[in-house]
Amino acid sequence: MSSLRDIARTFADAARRDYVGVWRIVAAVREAAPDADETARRDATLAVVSLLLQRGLAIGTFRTVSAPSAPDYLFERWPEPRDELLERLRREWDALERDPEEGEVAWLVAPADEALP
Amino acid sequence: MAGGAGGRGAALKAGLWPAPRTRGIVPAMHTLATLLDHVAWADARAVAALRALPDDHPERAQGERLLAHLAAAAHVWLSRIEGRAPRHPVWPALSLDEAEALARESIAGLRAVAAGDEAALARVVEYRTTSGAAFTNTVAEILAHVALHGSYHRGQVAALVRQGGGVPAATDFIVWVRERDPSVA
Repeated sequence: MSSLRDIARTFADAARRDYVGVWRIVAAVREAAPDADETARRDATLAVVSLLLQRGLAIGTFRTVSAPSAPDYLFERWPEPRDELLERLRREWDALERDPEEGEVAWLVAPADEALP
Repeated sequence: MAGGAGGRGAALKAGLWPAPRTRGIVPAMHTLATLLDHVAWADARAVAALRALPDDHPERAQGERLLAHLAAAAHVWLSRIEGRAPRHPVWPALSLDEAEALARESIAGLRAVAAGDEAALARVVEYRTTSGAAFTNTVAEILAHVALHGSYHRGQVAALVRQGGGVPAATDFIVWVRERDPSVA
């Protein structure tokens, strides 16, 4: 079974190449601990996100910048401090009243100077 | 004959025809996930076959470009499903290692999408192609496209590997089925 640090390490590497949706981390936690309840799954996911933020990853959301029928997107980084980032993620997740699905809540990505290629 | 009153169905009922042997039947909703599992395996095999060619072979560079495209295509389709910007163009300049990692991560994301329920797979995705045209497709259609698109380019890579003096990888779906379930033999 993957530990939370293993999951964080995997996504820290992936975030150098692509945006990592929070839903992907939820899915990885669910796979690692299929019997965990919703609260445990959320806490574990937030713990992974905390590790990723400690590694310097940015968290934010995409804003649609053109017509809804054919959208283009702009990544907007959430402002620090780090504690507030986790609290914001927790609030937005709570507002959803279920686990985030693809495209929901937030994304993580390595800063441009760490991105590959 | 098979569908007639005296055909296979009646013969089965009468016990005159051997019952079909079944094994690992894949429910329709899981077919896409299965196809994507095959893609992950096939991509890794294609990368390994190309990596065996010497760095200075022109076929290696051509194959790397194709595999980078394969990885980027999966990445771009994942980004469309997720409703966000891609980070790479459809034909990126990636090393073989980078293409391998991007493909692995993007297919893992698509595989997670494929694990969704029927409603999630029927969701309509609005997107714009790289040439700017707007389209809509369901998540299931996109996943099927990704699974099928790879076969074409892996075939091209196999031809290049052979041309460069290497051994092309067998990446057929049925080969994957046989390898993961030896009882097929």
